Amino acid sequence: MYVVSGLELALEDFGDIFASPVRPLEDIVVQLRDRLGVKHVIYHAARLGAGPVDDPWIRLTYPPEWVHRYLTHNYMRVDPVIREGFQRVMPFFWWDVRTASPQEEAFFIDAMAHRVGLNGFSVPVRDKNGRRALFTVSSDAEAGDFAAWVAGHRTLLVDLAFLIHSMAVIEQEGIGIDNPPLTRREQQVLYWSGQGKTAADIGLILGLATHTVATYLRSARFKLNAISIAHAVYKAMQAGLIDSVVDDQTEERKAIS
Amino acid sequence: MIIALQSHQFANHPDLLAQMHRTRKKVFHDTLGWDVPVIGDMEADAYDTLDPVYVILTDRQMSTAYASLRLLPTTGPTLLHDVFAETIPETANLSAPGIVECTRFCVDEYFDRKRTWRPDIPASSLLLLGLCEFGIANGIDMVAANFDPVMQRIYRRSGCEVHVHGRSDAFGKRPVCCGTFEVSRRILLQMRAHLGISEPIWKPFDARVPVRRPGFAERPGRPVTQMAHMPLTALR
Repeated sequence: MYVVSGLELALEDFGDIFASPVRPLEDIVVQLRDRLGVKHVIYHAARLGAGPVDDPWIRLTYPPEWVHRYLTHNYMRVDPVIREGFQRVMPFFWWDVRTASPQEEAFFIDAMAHRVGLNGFSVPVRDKNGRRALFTVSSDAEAGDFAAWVAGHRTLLVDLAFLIHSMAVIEQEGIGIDNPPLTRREQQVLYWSGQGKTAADIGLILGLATHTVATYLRSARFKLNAISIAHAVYKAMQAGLIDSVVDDQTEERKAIS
Repeated sequence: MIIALQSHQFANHPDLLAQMHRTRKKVFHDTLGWDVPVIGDMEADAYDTLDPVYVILTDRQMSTAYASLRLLPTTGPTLLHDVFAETIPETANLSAPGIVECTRFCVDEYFDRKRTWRPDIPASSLLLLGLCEFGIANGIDMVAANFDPVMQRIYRRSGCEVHVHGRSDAFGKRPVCCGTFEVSRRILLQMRAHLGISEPIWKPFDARVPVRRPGFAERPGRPVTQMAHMPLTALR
């Protein structure tokens, strides 16, 4: 019986995968599969303004025989994970997906027979330009074990889904996603992180709850496509995004010194 | 009871959704005078076409929508970003997988409170608590929202912590505020203590169509991801 990896993994452990020079996504999904210790990794993007089955862009680790069968049987139009996955907002397990017809039921049984994995977890991705994608990991681990593993790695899997998506957009279209600019609060929390302050310290300096600081850091890190707060601080400094914050904060710095 | 409907479930609940759109018209168009699109006796805008999540306060039979709100992921297109990016950027420009935007929060003011299972608690508070439970189970840490200034009192009374980032007078008879709410286990416990509720009120699965797949992996007995549904004592 295939069991998912017992290691606790964090996004920082994947830094080398996302480091430049960036490799093609078809290599990255294989790396991710091996590092995560899952059975398969699938990234499925819909073309901008099109449905998920109209000329999609897919990178996956499934065996070629299953991919061939999937295409020749036109399974993309039957697969309920795709039908629901592109409508859903929140990450979901395959066992949450309802089969709506005998064809869908037969598809699932065929997929099982071709060893795609007993259980799966999918993360719907939506970006600011309106693109949609679905990032999935599958496993042969028993349902309870898989649920426990996903619960422990949920944030990681979601972060990976969006990082993979941002790389896929660049690989496909040559330019990145139009993320919104950093807010003033996001600049401030990054600035103070760069000064070595913890989220709790920054909360005291700016008069915010620690949890709020952590969320602003997460938002800033996400917009900068960074794999850690340190990486986000570096990127923001390079782009000159947190220099001006120093002036804004003269008052606040006086207050604490 | 609180339910959260995503797009793949909309077809199973046409009555609840129609009631929600009618209440939204009464509240946002008729009462608050916001400049919102109206079709007949319903209000619906472009963001309703983006497959949002609707969180709805309903009865056990799921026949009546007493109160509702709409969620969209801030990684994608959002109303707050499109409408408030210039005036209230602190809320409007937040974007991360753990942050959702909440818009169209409203209560049908004509419903008879005795018909909910907790007539002593305002519908808006129950809806907020349900949102918190749903958020924790789905990896949400923060909700960015627009709301009428009077709502702040209701939020605080429910045990929520709101950070108001700004207000605008450009959208109707009354000003509109934008701000954020923390979603965490700490807030959940605080809300439950404020409201005197110890049981989960969000019903996580769509019970109308049970999942049953021969030969395929069964849903485990108690998924670890559903911490919010454990009794209060289990969380301590």
